[in-house]
Amino acid sequence: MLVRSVIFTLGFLALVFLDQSPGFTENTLFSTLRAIGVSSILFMLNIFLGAFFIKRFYPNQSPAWDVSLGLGLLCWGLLSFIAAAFGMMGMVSATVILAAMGCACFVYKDIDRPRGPLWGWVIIVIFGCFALVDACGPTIDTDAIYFHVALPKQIWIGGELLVGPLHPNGSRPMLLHAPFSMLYGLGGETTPAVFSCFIGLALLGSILQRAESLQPKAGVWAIMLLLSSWTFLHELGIAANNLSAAFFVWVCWIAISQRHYALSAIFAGAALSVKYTAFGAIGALWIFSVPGWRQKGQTALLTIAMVSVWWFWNMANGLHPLFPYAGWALDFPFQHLDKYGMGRDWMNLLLLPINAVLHSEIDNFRFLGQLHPLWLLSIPLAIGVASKTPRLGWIVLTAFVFWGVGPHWLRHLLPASPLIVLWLGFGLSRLNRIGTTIAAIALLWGLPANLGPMLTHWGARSVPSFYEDKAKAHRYERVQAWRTAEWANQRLPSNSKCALFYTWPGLAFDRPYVLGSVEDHVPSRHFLLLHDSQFIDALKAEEVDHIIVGPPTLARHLYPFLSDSDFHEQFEKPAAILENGLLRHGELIFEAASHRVYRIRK
Amino acid sequence: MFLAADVRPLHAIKGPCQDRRYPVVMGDWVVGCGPSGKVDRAISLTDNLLLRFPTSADAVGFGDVPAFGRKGLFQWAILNMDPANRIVDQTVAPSLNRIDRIASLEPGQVRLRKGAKSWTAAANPRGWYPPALLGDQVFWVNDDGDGGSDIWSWRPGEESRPYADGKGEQRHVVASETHVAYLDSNQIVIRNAAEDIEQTLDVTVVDRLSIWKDTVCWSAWSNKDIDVFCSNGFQLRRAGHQLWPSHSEKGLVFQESDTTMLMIFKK
Repeated sequence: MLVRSVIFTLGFLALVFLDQSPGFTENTLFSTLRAIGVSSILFMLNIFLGAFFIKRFYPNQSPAWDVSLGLGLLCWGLLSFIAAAFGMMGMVSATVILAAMGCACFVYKDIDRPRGPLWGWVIIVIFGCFALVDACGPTIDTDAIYFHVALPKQIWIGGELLVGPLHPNGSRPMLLHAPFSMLYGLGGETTPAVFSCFIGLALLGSILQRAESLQPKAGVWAIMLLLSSWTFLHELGIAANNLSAAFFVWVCWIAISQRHYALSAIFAGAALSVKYTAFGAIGALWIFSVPGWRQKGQTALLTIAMVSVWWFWNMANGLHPLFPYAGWALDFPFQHLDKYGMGRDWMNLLLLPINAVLHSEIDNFRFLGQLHPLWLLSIPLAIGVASKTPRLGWIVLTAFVFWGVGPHWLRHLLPASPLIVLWLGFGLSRLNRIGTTIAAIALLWGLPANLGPMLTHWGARSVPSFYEDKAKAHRYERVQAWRTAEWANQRLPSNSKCALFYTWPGLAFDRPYVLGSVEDHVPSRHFLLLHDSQFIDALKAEEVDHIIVGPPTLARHLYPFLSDSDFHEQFEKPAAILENGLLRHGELIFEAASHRVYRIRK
Repeated sequence: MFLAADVRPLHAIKGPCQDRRYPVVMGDWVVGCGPSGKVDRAISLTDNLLLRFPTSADAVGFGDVPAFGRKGLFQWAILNMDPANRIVDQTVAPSLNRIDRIASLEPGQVRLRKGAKSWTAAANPRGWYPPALLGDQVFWVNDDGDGGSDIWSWRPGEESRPYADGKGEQRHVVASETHVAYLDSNQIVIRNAAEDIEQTLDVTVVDRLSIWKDTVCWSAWSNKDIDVFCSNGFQLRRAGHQLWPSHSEKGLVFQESDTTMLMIFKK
């Protein structure tokens, strides 16, 4: 076992060190293959690691590959978090963690292999190939360039976690982003996206297998509902946390189904540690699936204990436990829920299921995504078989209600989506031949609106995934600030530190920075309002010597629900503070595509 | 010596453009942008004639005449973008254009073009700062490899060399037919064609320098707001901030409350 582990580790490191291009920004064919190789190896190691622990806790049963993967991800996340929390994230700690995970390789013979209808797996593989091309392309998704890859890069560069109002994204739960930093360091920039893609495909495979074992055809319908929806397909190709949260929700349900309540509580804690928006699905499972108040109490305590790791981490750093969602120094709205969806009065909330499916658009704030109409059309069928799965229906309803309370982004529905499509799949699987034919026609009818934009997207991404010059041009076209960031990397002093105001792409910077963005540029606006005309002094106190400025958010029409005075106070005033401060204390030294670089005058 | 006339808004030219250095005065013209914020028009200071031209992915440059194009620079006088007329493929800063010469900064080199002839020299231009041109001598802001900048110069037939270097940051080099000016830390340095320093001014310039013959103008803080000052003693003091001055013998253009303002000089 030890010999295997050593051989594996040495081979893996040889793969990693074959190409040590600085900055990991070039997207050549070799870099793509490396990202896939690193992701594949870590994917398997997580299964082995999880299976190892399952055999310890449940020696009488063979570890299932999907449940093993979930437990392995959790362990790997915690190990990475500990390394980063102690400021030791780097090649040495990554090697140690890999070697430790590699020690579990010997359990591979005992793992239950994936099962399910072959043609279902073929469909998953086909879509997976397209998604993989997307994931291998240069990172351009906004959430990835400011958070999901940007933060892991900063953790890898600095070796430690980043927290506080100057690094608000680092104060979120780090179960996924600490291991993402390992992926970034070992495989390059696209590796987190490739690994996320693998998790999403694993989720599909597990849904197919588990649902089919309960009801023939339910699994196939379930994965088709997901694969025919733009929101899910788009998520497959980016570095993000929604599908990982969905995977943990799903394995939590599996554990509950098998009456492994302690394990389910651990998975519930993991889901919340990836994304708090999984709370609706987790809460619904807890209410309707965990039997008895004693069991409910024990699982709740265990889940809270798991999630509280992040709360205590924030408190240890002098922050509100739920920072950055709460606890800003000023009474400052973190998010304007009215900006999204189609209204929040009672009638709009009642019509939410219909509006979310029929009126969603992928390129504006109306739900920011798209689901196949079959999601809506199959609800009556699912209700019709409620007697077979009564609690699942209530779970889905409760999860949806929780989603309705938050911002109406369809991607926030993804953590609950495995349960939703399982429920809908049960309904569709009960159709007779004629009904199935009609449903299949309906599926095809709704495909162009969902698959059409994705085919265009995949086509645009296919060449940049393998050609460096195309990747560069693609990034310049899609990320406005990239040229400015590249100039800063090349031309600013090596020890300079930048503050990012009203600009997203933290990923583009090869050096430490502060602020950056989340939501409506909350860090920028809060910092400026907090320090007012003294904000330059506050930046100097943080050893910041350059400022990168993007175009501030001043589109009044996006905030019709705000009064003129509120809009001025929250948006116009901080922008004015910034411009006045730059006039007094900054010198413009570069500008491209509306992004400016200022040197702070000494 | 400038004598001021009335200052009036120049409504045909939006201000400021996406590239804040525009609008600028080029000889008898003010070159700037329309509602899109992209540089696509010029208005004559002589007869108010408004000309529009295709927006350029590369900046139209500075100096006496604009150059433009979508992939590279093309001379204004030619007014068509036949690839055969392309001057240069890729620039790292706007060009500096005279009637018969163009100085451009490219990755790793500086170029001077006169008619059909072209000369290059190795350089490490910092980018964004346009070059300056006095006769056939090109000046530019060169990256010193340590995050700072110096002014370098070159003329065809010679090696490129440092023109102004030292401990501070040398940048914003501009040149007229007779003089060169640049910023050295918090000083404006004005030198003649023989490279003698004629004048140094201790001032913190807010945005950039503008030069016409031997007169340099700039914006600087004065009590509570920013005004325009010139090396010949001229001052433009108005309520609010006057930013990004650009002048020729015809007049001075500047930004005030996001409006392009024009001041015509009387002799």
